[in-house]
Amino acid sequence: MTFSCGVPERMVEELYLNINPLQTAGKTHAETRKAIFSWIDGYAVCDACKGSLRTMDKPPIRAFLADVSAFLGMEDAMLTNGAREAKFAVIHSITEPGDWVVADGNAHYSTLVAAERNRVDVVRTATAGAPTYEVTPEHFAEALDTAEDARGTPPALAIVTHVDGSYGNVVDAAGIAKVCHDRGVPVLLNTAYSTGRMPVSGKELGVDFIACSAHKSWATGGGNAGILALSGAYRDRVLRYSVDNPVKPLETLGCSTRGSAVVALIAAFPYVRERVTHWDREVAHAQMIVKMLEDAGGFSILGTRPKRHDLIAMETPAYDEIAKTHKKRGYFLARDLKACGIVGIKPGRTKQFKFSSFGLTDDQARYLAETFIDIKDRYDTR
Amino acid sequence: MSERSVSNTYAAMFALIDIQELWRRTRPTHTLSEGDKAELASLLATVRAALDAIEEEMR
Repeated sequence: MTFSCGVPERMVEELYLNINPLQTAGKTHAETRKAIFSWIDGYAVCDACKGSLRTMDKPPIRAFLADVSAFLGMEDAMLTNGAREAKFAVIHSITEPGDWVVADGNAHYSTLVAAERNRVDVVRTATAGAPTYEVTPEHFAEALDTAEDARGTPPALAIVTHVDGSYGNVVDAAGIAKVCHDRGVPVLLNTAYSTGRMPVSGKELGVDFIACSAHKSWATGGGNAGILALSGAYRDRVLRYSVDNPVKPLETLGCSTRGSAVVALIAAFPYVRERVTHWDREVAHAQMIVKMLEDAGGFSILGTRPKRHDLIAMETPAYDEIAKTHKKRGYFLARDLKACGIVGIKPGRTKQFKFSSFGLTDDQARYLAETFIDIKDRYDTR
Repeated sequence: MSERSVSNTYAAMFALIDIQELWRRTRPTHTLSEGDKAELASLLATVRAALDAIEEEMR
């Protein structure tokens, strides 16, 4: 079916195992889709507006913000349109143009763009390079000390990618936070790939800010949504209000995600709160898949070992050999996977690619690994 | 027609979303267990009952 505008319906999540790392943990639960269906109209959340999104009781946004602050081990929270807007708000609140910030070598481009828009320089840490690309507290210490010596001032902020989107490495956030705090530098943790998937406590990690992506990792749809959770020490600097419109938070220009996405986030929250308690199962699936592929030969993991996250990056020389002679070249893999009911890797990629096992059942995780291996063996035996 | 029919429209839609969830849960083969089949039958009955109620009010 195609809608009158020419856009086709999308049945990807019903027909296929979708392993696109961007999408696996943003897949919505049935209750969430029902909520979105009911609240889809523009500004529907503003039926009982009291002047500010964050103080709304119908739907219960005020209560949700209190609950989610506690869930993240922080003292306050605000809604944003995504993790990048949360990062922008922090940088905008606590830096001045001409300041500099430090970020890890695996930082997402949106971290760099958020800093650029705020006219602050970014100093990137080194990484361990191939094949682990690990970022350690020592990398942060080195970048902080070297850059401070050269610039004469400490950075205004450290932005730490909790789990990067290229290799699925989980950093030692507590260790990095200690290194930064020892030098008087506040820490913003980008959790686009962690909160909502796995347990994260800002208090335990010792960070000052947590940026979350609801549409990436909190099973939220119906639009974009994010959360900025913060410690009480920075509440007044980040959660400050307009002088002329005193109920409107400045950093969100009054109200941020004012559509069905915020209702979706509230509807998804009980489900998210429950699913993070099963994170060990997600890690076990990822480790099982990696082991099956590496045991089969022709596959090699990129990133740190043991695998501790559902985002899996692999070098796949076995597929690259097949692509050299296959009439579809590198596109054979995506085509063969789709024929087996699997989508989500970038078509044409055979040297290396990434995928996510988040949310798969035991049987689906095994089927995924077996299918990767079957495709390799199919051509090996010709 | 009344609010009841609007409410029944939502009841039918929500049951269909639960059926959609069944397809998502069993992708890509959609091999249904006996429990899945019983759930599907119950959801289809809910959809039918809601649509029947709308039709009844229309008469």
